[in-house]
Amino acid sequence: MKSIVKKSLLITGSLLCLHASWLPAKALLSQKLISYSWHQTIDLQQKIKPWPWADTYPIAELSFLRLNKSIVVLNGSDPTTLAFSAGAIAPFNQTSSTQAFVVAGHRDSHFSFLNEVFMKDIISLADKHGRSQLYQVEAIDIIDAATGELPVLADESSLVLITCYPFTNISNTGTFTDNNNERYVITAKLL
Amino acid sequence: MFTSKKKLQLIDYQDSYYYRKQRNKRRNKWLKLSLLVLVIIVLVFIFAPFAQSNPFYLEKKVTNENALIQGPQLVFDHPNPTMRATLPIDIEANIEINGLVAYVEIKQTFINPHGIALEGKYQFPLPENSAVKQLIIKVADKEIIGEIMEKKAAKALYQKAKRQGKKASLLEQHRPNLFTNKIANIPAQSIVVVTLKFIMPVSFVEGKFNLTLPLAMTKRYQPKSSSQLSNYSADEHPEPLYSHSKQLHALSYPSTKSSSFASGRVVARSQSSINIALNSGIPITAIFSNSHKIKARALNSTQNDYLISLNKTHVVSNKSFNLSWQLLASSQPQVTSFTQEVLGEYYTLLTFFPPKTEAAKVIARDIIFIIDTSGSMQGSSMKQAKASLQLAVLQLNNKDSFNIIAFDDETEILFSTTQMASAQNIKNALQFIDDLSADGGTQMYRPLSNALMMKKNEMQSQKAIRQIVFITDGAVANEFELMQLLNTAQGSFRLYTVGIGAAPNGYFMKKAAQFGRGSYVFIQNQDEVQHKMSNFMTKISQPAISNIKLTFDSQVHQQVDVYPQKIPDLYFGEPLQIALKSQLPITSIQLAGETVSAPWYQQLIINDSPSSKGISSLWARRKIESLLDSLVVGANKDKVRAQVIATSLNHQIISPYTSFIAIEKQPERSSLLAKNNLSAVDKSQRNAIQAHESLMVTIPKTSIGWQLHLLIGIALLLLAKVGDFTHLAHSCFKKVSRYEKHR
Repeated sequence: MKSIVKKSLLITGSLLCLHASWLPAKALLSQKLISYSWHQTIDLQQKIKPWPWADTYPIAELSFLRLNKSIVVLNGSDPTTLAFSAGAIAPFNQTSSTQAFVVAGHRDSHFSFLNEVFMKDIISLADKHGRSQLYQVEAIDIIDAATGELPVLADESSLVLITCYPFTNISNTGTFTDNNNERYVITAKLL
Repeated sequence: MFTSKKKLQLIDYQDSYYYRKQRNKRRNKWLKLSLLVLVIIVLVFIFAPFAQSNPFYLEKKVTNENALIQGPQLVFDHPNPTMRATLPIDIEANIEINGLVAYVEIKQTFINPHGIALEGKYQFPLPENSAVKQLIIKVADKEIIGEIMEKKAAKALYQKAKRQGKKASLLEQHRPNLFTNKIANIPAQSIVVVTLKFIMPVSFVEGKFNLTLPLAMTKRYQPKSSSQLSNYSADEHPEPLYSHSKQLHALSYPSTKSSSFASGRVVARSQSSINIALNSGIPITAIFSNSHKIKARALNSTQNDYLISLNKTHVVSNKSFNLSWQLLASSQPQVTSFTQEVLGEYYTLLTFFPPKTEAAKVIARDIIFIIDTSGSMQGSSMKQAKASLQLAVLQLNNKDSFNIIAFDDETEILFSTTQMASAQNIKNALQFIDDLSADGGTQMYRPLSNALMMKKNEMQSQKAIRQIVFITDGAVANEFELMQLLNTAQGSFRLYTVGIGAAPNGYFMKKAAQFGRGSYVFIQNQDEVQHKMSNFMTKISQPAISNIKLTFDSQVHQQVDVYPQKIPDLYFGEPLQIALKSQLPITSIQLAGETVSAPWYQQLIINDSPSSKGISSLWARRKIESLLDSLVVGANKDKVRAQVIATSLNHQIISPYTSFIAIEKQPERSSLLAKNNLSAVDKSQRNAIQAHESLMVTIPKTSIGWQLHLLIGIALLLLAKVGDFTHLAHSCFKKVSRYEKHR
């Protein structure tokens, strides 16, 4: 009897651990493929999917100069895309110097370092032609996302990074608490 | 495990015991070690963010101080953060409401309560979908005027101000719905008067109108050192600009005379007032404010013209102003009209109000559902989409015919033509929906053209309307292609879009529905499916009036610009606005359409009514929208651009090609009115600020929440381990005691 309980505990425990580490593991591993396809995108100047059945493709690369971190941004912001890397939200997914560029990412995988970003930090955004633009962090806000919408200036050249807040919260919005509807929004302006 | 142990026991008791112990020890060691490592890793993962985030809390709070702004405020650059924000001491709002358009003019008076000259930032939380038309800020010796200009011109002006070494680095617009403007050098104890003019929509839900204005305002300003203040006033001005508190109270609401009191000079006399001219165009009732005590006075007996003001005994409190009124229900659709004359051209706004819902009058429809089953829909989105579709199918009645197209990079069709909604067909459909799963790419063109071409079932009547309900998250790359397909499609059909998930492509949903003369709905989570989807299906099953047509006297009116160009249907519970421009005033319009039971016809006579503010702005907004949409269909880019700029400047409505720019200048006593004069603008300028058009972006869910699961898993593992220990201890104890006995 005891051994059955013990075994089941062991099994469920390890299954849960596996399940929990599945997403971050996926997030980590896919980075390789994504960065490979990103380099190909730059070389060949066309949309390269990171894997054949992907519904998205890399469109830009963000580099945080002070933190010495960089991340390839995928097109789109649906849950599937965000599971693999940070994603640019339509219609702000065009890397042009006259339009806003809005990127969302998971606070517990790709964008976990966002809380190390300070005011006046420099972020570089490289587009698929290999050109890069520098942005400087101008505002860091914590907003209530209960309405589900964030107003963004359409015609201003800015870079907006969105992730969940607080960073330290262990649970997910949907699962246990419904009140952590906050988002951490970093706005950077073109230099 | 037990059996093996027992066997060992039989062979050699002492040895086996020893070995077992050793084995257990070894196993324990290994298990312990691995568990320890795991626990440490997890703890590091979990606590690292805690450790890092602590020192930043202070900084975050500072940057976040103005996250929730309820009303206009002036934020001073004061060294002490707690003394920065000030609310206006006086607000004077004049609002003209014409149907569903409110033209708002708010004059706010602030005071610099500090003893030193400071820099300030004016902030105003603009209501949603509002458009700023003009901004005037008056501070002691200067005036800042904000207007709409062409982007290039605005930029040049801005650059010029910057080159002159003025404080032009103040490009400031972090949050788009928050209108901000910097004001340099506000002298101590001086007064700042900000006048903001904007138009905003009135919301209309189920016969109830609602208008909310962010007008939070401070309690009466009570200077802590009133003596100092009066000293100052006495020193500087023969007549105190701003007298101390006692006098202030005496002057509260000095009725209408106050304007003459303040002759020629702007003085904060706390005459807070809100005056609203409410012209609804149709009979209304139950004018009420949740936030303030108001007085409503009817101007005539037709129940559509009111003058509303604040009850004098009631002080403007620290909250937004809210006003609601109710439509007098009618069994017939009602149409109102408002006219405005601008520069010899006449702008007319027609607003259609649907009749009160009549139940059970449903039209026959030939309805095709298109459901997106591409990879981007995976997970909760697919669940919601399926639930929505099932609900929709179950709501069909026996007059309807239907079909379902599911697509990813391939297209799957339920029936070859549409089929009547019989019990058997619905059962098949539900089975079909149940089997759908999200995978693969997104090829939207084929299913859409399929739906447009699909044959109608022979059993369906000729009159049945083809409706296409498109359920998707809108993750498409070829938006323009799809719009073009919709725009050029022949035949009468209506396209409705159902946006699924946290981040549906709102732009595509809205535009597709507009091109398809339908409407759209967004479903963000599972809880909303039931409520929103059934409302939506009910709505599209019974348009109040469809195929609306306007006819003018063609001899008088050669050219009438009508927006929207494709007039949508009128649905129950939702008003419809149509804006027109004509060279001569329109005196009568013939309106025709179809209701469920019979054709509908109305002759609308427009009287010589006084000019209504805001109508031309609305028309201009619609025109700009329509011009930009024409780009999709392949219009000449430069031509469109020129037209948009012209419209935008004429009507002072912001567009993608124009900016709102605020320029500071020294007052010129001789030509105060020369604000449009370019030379006046050229002299001047200490700062220039641009405001922008804003778009709403849906915020996706941005956390996985894997840590919690991992924690639970580890807790379970630990628990198993603990169980293991107790079990071991128990068995060891047994063995030992038995061993003792044996001896």
